[in-house]
Amino acid sequence: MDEFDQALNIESDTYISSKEEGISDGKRLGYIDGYQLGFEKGTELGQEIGYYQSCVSVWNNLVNIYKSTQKFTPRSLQNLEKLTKLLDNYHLNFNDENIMSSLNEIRVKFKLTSTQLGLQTKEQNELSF
Amino acid sequence: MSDDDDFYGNDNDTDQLAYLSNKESDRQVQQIFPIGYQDGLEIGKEITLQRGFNEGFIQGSTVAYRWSQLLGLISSLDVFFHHNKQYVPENVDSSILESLVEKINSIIKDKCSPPSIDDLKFRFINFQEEKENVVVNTTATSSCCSKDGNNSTNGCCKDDNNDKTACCSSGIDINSLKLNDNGQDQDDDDQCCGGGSDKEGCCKSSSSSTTTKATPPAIAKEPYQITLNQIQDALFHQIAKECVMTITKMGLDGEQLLQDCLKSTHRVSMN
Repeated sequence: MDEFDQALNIESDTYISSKEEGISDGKRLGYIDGYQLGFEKGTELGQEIGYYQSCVSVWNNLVNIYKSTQKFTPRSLQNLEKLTKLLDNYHLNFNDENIMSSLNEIRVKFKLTSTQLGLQTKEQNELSF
Repeated sequence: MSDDDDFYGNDNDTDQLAYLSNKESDRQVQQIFPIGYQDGLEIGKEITLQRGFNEGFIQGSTVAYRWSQLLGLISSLDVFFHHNKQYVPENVDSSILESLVEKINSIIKDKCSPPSIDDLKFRFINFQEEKENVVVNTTATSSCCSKDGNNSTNGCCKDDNNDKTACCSSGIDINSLKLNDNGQDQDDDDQCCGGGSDKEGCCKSSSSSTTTKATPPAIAKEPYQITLNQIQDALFHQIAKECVMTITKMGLDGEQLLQDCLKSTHRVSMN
């Protein structure tokens, strides 16, 4: 092995070892970057869906409790029923291509129902779901 | 002339050559190292980015989902009583609902803010490659029996022997939130762990004869399970109790409303 071969070996050895070191650090950094982004997106969606489900559950209870004394329009009750079904069946499935269109449908129905019931919440206006 | 006296002999020539050679190789190393490292960094990031996203998503969405259920519960009641003051019981200030909404909102802000990169670096300082074997393709129904109670693998808390109101799906034992006739919390908060910790053993699990504590399903060490421990923390339990007490003051069945809100599960499937 002459000096030229030796120099070439140093180059390739250095490249390989530094690349391995980079891969090892990159795995940790990639995981952390992904985790942070995922956490952020997850809280946005989790917050939104949890809020909708809880509100709808309360609305159903309120309708049952006050139906004799409080007037709820048939249309609002019909929409509440549909919205309840939509939320019951909602599954945040990333393998489903229609995941966002289902969520959009829930968003629209939620706004509509809350307005018809006269129960538009503050968060609904403040948060840009 | 002896070798010792050879001032500019062959040995020095060799040393000088070696010195130059080392200097050259050092220069090469310095030039090549960042290139290889950068290439490796990109490859490494690509390998784990999606897994990190999946695990972060499940973690974040599960925590946010639970806390938002409490927010939705109180917020929707706040709006209802705001528009229908005739239903507010006498001697009760309906602003207690608004205060609670603000309180939950501030908790959500705190709990749901993404961890900083530095924080995560510290948490994952011992990131191990074997974590890659974790299958993320799961339905994160909070490891629960779900509404129908059909989880045969983990064992279901909703079997016939258990009180139906004590469900792992809610993350908390609804029975432990019951109030006495005076609307007071039955627990002695100073002495009780809050019933939220399953791992370390809870004082409520055996001492109360009236409370049927659901046996938590066997928990496999999956990343999202960490979340469950977080959301079953004492703070969640405490705020849930506060919600029940506040709703009860408004003349409604707080336990029932809370139970109805918490029974829905958060379902996430990642690819």
